[in-house]
Amino acid sequence: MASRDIPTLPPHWFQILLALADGDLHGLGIMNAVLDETQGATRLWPGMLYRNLDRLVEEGLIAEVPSSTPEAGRPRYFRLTAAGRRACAAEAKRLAGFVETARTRRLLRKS
Amino acid sequence: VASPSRFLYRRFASLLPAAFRSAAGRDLEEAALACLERERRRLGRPGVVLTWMRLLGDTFVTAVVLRWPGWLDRRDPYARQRRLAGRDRRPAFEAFMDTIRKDLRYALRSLRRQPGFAFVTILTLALGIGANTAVFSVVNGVLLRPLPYPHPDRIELITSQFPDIGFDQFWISPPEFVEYRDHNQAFEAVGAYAVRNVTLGSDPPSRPMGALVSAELMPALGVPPLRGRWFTQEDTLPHAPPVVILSYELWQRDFGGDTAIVGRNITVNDLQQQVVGIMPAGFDVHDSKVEIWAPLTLDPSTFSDNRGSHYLYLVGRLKDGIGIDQARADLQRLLEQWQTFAPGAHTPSVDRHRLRIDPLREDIVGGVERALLILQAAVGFVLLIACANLANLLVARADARMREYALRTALGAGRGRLFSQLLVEGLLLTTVAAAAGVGLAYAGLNGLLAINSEAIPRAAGVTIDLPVLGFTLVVAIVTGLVFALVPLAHLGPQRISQAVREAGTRTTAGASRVWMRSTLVVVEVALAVTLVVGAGLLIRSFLNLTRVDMGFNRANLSTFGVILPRTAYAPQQRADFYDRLTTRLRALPGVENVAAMTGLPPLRSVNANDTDFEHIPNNRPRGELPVENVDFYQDVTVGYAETMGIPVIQGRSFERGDVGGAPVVLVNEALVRKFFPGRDPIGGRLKPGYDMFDKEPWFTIVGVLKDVKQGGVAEAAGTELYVLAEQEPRLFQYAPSQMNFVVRSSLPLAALAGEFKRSVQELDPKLPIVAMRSMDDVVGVSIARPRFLTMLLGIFAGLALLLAAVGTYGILAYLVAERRHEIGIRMALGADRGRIMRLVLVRGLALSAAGLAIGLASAVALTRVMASLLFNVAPTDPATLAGVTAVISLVAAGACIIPAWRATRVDPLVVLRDTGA
Repeated sequence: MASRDIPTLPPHWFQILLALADGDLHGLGIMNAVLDETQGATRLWPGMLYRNLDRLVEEGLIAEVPSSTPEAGRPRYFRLTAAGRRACAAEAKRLAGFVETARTRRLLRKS
Repeated sequence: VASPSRFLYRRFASLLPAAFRSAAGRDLEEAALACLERERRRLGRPGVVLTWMRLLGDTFVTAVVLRWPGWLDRRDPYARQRRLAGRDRRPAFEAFMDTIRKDLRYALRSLRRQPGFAFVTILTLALGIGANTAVFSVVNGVLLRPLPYPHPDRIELITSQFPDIGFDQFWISPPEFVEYRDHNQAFEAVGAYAVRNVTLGSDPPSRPMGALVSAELMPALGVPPLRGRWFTQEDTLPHAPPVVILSYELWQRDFGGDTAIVGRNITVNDLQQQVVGIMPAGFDVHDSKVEIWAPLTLDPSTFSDNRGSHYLYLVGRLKDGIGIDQARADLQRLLEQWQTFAPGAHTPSVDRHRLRIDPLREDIVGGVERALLILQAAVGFVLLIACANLANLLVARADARMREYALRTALGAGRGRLFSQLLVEGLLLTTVAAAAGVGLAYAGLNGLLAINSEAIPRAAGVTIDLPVLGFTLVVAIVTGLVFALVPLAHLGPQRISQAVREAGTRTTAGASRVWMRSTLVVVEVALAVTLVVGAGLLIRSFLNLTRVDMGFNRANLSTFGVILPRTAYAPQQRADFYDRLTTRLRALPGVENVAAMTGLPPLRSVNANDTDFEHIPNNRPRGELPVENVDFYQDVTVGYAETMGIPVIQGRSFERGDVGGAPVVLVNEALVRKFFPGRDPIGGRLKPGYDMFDKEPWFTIVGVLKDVKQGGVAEAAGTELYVLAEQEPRLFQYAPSQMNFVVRSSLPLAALAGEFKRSVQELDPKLPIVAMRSMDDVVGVSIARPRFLTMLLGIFAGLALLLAAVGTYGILAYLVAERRHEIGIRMALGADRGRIMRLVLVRGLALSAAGLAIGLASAVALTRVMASLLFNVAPTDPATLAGVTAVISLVAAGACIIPAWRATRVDPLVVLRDTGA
């Protein structure tokens, strides 16, 4: 998929991908990471989180990490795929563009 | 061991499709528990409650979205892109519709297989939803819909208060109106009005409601005329040419909507008056049903003489940004200063003669607000009972369909699939029921309003409109969800797998299931008992009202009104007319006695006339009014007390000889109690207080009549003074222009009506005859509101009782069916039929008794809000509670007896053979 074909990501997808960019995580880990990253603004509820994880897997943006120790009760880990990394980067770039515009219009100070 | 939170969340999660649950596994629960813990730390206990609500919502949304992916599509850019690129052959929306279609077809088929179930369900729900729709349409039309004026919240009603005489809301006199209008600083406009019937046309005349209004009334209400103009200040001056404005309704009905009527003359009160305008449809003031508007003549030169003549209500529009509290503060300031610009005895003041300001809306609907909200709660109860019944029915049905579900689960249908199917089925049933309910509501409402239009204000605005239909839709959807969720909650995964294992054999009633269904029965009996107690109290209170001693004998009494135009009849001619009509009516076959009176008991407006009593000294200066005030003045003809059947307590009643004799009056007992304590009233003298110049003679009291209700059946009879109408022309050149004739006859009104009309028309063919009714009807109309409320609550309580009886019957029948096997064995072991019957009866009666106890307790707690609607009945009236207990016990016994009898018909041989033992 060429980068110009990548649609705008829904905010919570972007947050999930962003959380996974730091390394493999399980559902609860993603939930906490997103919560920390957004200073508590984005709360992912369990049903919402897992149905979105399923969708992301379906779209090939993330993949489930195959378990080396197949034991019952072990949480499922997820990993960012190459496509996911591209999509996340494209979204970040898009947002960065807005930030740049905001700066030139003196809405933000240079950090 | 799972913690309670984990257990509860598992219940939630069981809504989700199995595939999703098994994939997410324990992670889902862990995430949920983590959320709970996080919010508990952040917000404490309220955080936990909030989180549970969020989790429930989240689970529900997820269940729906996973089931019907189309819903998610809109917000899922990837799916949309794929669809737009044509890569997805089946658009999600189409897939969604396809599933719905399939579910709908399946639901229809399964309902058609059980037409009995479908019928009972739809009927029960339709009754519940219909009752709710009907009552809500009344609540909506009367209470919720704003008054039809721009910024209706700024419109206030201004009335007077006389704490000394006990008048809390009274009229205002013209000088007081002008002074308040000119001196207040809170209102943009203050208008005055007085309503009274007028005679319209002459061949035949009609009697529409009319209003005399000041020029400021229209600006105060804020509705401009549809055609022509509104009244100007010049129209209200003395000797201004007479003009009128028509209501839209009258214009359509009597003048065919002819636009040329504006500018033409019509006959009103026997005078040619020019129509100058037409108001838009629905325009009215204080729900008075005014159809013809005329200017109120204000003559400042007479103001000093008629300060005491109170007959106006004021309506004001507050200035933008001024609240009612500020207006009241402004009024208080005025009351303190009033003497400075209108010095005198009869001037509004802070203590004895106050004015008050109330929101117009509250004044119109305040009297029914509580009653309507109670009705709404009552129908809410009925719907709850219907839902409890249906839940029971559904659980039973889910049991019966266990094998079907088990099979479908075994074949791979997830719980999500079952969920969507039950949801579609539930919504289908409730939609049909809601449609039927709206039909029932429509028919019921029209019937109720037709017979009770006098009972509630703003009745004309009660319709089943969009907000009402929206309300019905919400009720239907919520009920549909309950439908889907109850059986699903009941069908735990274990139950399904158990059913799969047991394949064909019948499952026995699990203890928890019986417990749940028994609880439902107890709850619905309790709800029904509460309603029946409420209805019982209202019925008793209504019976008390009908049994009130009105002071006269209303049986075999008919009445009608005659209005003599002042222009055509001078006082003496009027008195002669009444005399001739009385003679004619007396001559009719079957008529025993005839008399006429100005006011029609038991409900008429108060006169509150100042009256001078000779024995009560007052040192008031000439020209000022006395403080003694008599509630009702009644002008009557000779033979009045005899015709009405009012007992003479002391002295005598009017006699023929009084017509040309000395001035005499009769009084009632209340007047004697108030003004002649410890004194013989006979021979006492009094005269109307509005005679400020001692022109009028003293009247001698010749008799005391028993108290007659005039201010309403439920009110204490006020003080009353009877003046002999035949004496009035001679004594002060006056005769009433309107009289109510009463005729005592053993013949029914229907047989007499034609004769009455002929008798009047033979004397003057142009006279309108109004309000021809039997006295029983007159009394009926005066208690129309309590009758309306009693009737409705009675119907709803009956419905609740019926539904609760059906519910009790249902659970017992189900228990008997479940325990057939056990009963068979018991009988085979020698238990006799009486014992079996007792077994079932005790079970059913125990449930009813529990419901009865809870219901009585909640009734005692809840009926307190009804206290203001009751008459001579305490909210905890023991007789009502005992009566309800008896009725409920009887109904419960009736509902239990059939299943109990059925249990005794169990044939042990058949049972044992069937179960293959």
